Amino acid sequence: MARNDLQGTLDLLVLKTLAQVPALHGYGIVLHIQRASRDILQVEEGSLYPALHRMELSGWLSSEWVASEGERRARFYKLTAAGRKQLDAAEKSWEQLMTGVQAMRSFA
Amino acid sequence: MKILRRIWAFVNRSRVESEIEEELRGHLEMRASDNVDDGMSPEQAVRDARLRFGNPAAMKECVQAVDFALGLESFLADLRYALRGCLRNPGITVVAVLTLALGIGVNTTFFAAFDGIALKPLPVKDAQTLVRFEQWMQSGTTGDPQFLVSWPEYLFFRAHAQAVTDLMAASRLISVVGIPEGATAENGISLQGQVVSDNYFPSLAGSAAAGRYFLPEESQPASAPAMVLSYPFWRRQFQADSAVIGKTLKVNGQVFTIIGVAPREFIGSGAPPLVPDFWAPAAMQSYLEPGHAWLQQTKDAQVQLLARLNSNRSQAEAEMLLLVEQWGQSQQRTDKTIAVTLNRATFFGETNALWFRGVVAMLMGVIGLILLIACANLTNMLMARGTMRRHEIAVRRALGATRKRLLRQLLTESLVLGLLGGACGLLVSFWASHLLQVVLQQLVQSLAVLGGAAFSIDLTPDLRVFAYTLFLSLLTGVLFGMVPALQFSKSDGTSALKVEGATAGQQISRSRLRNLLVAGQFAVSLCLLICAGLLLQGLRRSLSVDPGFDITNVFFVGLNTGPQPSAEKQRQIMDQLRAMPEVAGVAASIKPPGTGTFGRQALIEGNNGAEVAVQGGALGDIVSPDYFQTMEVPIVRGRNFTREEAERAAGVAVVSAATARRFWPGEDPLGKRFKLDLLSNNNWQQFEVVGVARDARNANLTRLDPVFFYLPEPPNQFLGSTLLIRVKGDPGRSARAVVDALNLSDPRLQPDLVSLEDGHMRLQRLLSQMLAVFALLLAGLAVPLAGVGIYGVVAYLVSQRTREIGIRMALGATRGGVLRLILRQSMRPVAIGACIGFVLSVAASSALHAFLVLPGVPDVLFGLSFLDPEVFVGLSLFLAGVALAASYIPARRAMRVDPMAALRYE
Repeated sequence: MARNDLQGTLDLLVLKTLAQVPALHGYGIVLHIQRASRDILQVEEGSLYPALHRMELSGWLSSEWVASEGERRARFYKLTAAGRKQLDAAEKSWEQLMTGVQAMRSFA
Repeated sequence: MKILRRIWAFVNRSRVESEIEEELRGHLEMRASDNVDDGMSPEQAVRDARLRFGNPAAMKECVQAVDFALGLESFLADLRYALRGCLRNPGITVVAVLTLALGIGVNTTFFAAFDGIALKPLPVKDAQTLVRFEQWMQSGTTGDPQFLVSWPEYLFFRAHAQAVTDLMAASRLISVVGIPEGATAENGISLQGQVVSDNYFPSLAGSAAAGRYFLPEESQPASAPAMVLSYPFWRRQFQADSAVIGKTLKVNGQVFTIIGVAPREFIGSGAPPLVPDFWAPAAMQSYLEPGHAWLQQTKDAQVQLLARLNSNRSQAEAEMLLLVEQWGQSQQRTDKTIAVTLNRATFFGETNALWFRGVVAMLMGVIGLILLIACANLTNMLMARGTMRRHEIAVRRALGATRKRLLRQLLTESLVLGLLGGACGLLVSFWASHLLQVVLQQLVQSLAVLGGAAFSIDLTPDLRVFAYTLFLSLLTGVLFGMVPALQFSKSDGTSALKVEGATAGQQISRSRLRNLLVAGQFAVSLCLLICAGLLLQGLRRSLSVDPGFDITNVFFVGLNTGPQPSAEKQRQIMDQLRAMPEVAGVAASIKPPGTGTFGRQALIEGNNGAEVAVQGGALGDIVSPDYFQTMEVPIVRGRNFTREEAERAAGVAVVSAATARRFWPGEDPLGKRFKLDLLSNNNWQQFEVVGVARDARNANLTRLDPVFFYLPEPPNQFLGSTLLIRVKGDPGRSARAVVDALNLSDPRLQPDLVSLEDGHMRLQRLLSQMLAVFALLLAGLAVPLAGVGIYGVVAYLVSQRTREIGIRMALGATRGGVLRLILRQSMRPVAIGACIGFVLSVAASSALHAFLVLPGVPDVLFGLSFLDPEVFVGLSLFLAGVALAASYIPARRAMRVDPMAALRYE
């Protein structure tokens, strides 16, 4: 069965973001999700961080403090190989869910 | 990885905290500054950022929870909680830990024994490359013949084998009588020698503990006899004094010089796992076995082979097989070798054999059963406790604990118990392994066939044993904890908060399972106890058993008859002794009683001329005609064979009364005929029965010989350098007179005398004593296991029915009535278990007796009937009494139930 919940969705969004943009800080991820979803998806910004840290501990992400010129330093996140694999699994699971919901809706 | 990161975060707590804070603050500031860029006022920008972000303090805590391994923290909390729980119920904890300690201890001990026998490499140099030669016969013969080859065959292999190096040969252990330098003949000691090839020590043993090993020239036949002592013998006999090097030790009268002592760790090459007392070069073999020189005999398989593998195994095995075939062709061997294996040498030769695996699997099953019973006991106890904990668990569920979380906590508790039990079990097994080693040592030394050699298996636990114990502890922790944990965590909040949560059907099926467990463990315990009882009865009998011949006045005399002993010389000495006033009789025999006998294939001729083979071979001895008179074994029918018959090699024999009863029941045994394959070379000799001797215990003190033939000595054959002398008057003084007379007649004889009673008889009695120790151990396991198990179940029962009992009492049930109710219910599975246990015990006892079909097998029960009613009924009643007592304790609690309190409860 396709397993999905709010947390799973957030994971998928973050992983997908980092697959599209190589390295981002938390705020950047929020902006990217908002922009890429044409303002449809608005993440509760604070709840992003426990998820980021959890994914890092799971080995899906790696992080690094980067100080760019003239700006304050920020923690940048990158996708790891394990993260890429997890992204595949999450996408598959999501698609299954979608197919399931679709089938359900079109059931006469 | 995860765990490392978390530990790292734990250690650098303040740094991680400030980083989290910085990251979150950074986010808020970036959002605010973007908001300002979008045209908001600074205050509005900050407010919007906070709104979008949520509560920063709460988020910070959330992130910290992720980083600081709250999983680990909660595990530690579970652990603390579990330990507190153990302390809160010390009674249950102690019983649980002791039960597990017994179960795990026994299993660990068994594993340590298995490890020592089959897994540990021999303590020799480069044990990894050392292999033992083993051949597999077309006829399916297993055991010793698989390992043994003749000396000329060994030399042939050694000359031609390319794929192995250092092909070594070692004989089996040879029993001899030795007299250390300076000791008198009466102080002769029974020794085990082993002859080895010249490359044995250089290849296997590290540098000598004292002295040196054999020089090449000492392995030549003409050189002076030399010996290397084993470390245990050196310590036992010479208190590890290195001054013994250069001294002499007389073996069978031949003087050997002690040239060295093997290092402490070198305890022989195993198979059988016995440490010889000394080693001698193969060239000295005829001194150790006068009258049986086998170095030139191409068909006399006497040595086993060890080698170093210097190429791949299958290639070496193929080469050896080819050599065996080449040799077999030149020798017209009757049996064909179909395969040769070169397996890593362990203490025990046959660890690959099917029977060995079968025995290990069977014992593992039985012993695993004990642990399983212990687990069942604990499951019951935890379930009983669980009813008291239902409330606690319901509250936890109500407060939002997930099922997974509860399972984890409950399993942590049982794992803690399991590990505590395992730790105590390890202690039990240290002690038990030590005891086992001592017992085996004594047992081996008491077995006359092995002649008192030291046992070489090392049972001290190694890493493998520790790993096994840890595995068992975790396994039992999960095993006994799983059912209760699943059960309790399953109950959802509402039903658990109710009083009787489980449905009636569930309860019945569960209680049936429990009763089955009780019945099973009572059965196994009873079986263990009955086996113990039978062994103890055997001990009682062994102390009063009559061997069937005189042992107090009969002495062995070992004589130094030189490498070429003659029958004439032997005859002369016997005649000289016979003339002495102190001597009542002199006889010669190949195997003096109590030193084992030979087993030979025999065919008994029936009335219709058909021949019946004797299952397991016949026992027998070749004796001089005066044997019966000297040993005081009366001829009960017919006559003895005469010296004249012996001299013309007449085919006549005396048989034991048991033999006559077995093969010619209700008939006159005199005149009956049988055939023996005396030299095991298919050369059958025919004998006619002329007399029947009273039954005796020649082969084994444990039982009357089931089949025993006394054959006359062949003409002019030397019958071994041991004579049997029966003395008159004071045995000690007469024995000294005999020694003096022999010394006077020929100083080279260097005689030594050992009485039969002090010799092998005493050692044989030890066998049953050691078995009795085992029996006590078995009993020590069975009784507490049964008791604890039944206690646990009845305690559970009572705790389940407290309310019901309360109602019964409120309605007027008497205390006696309640007691009877509880006891009746708890004794039902016990009764079923007793029946199963009875059947199991009969099966075990029958299996033990089935081995007695083979004539040479010792009877550990000393002739006890295999259904001894005293043991079977007595011990069943005893164990039932234990069960009754165990259920009385909780039943009494039920009796004291205060009806009001019970009804108010919940």
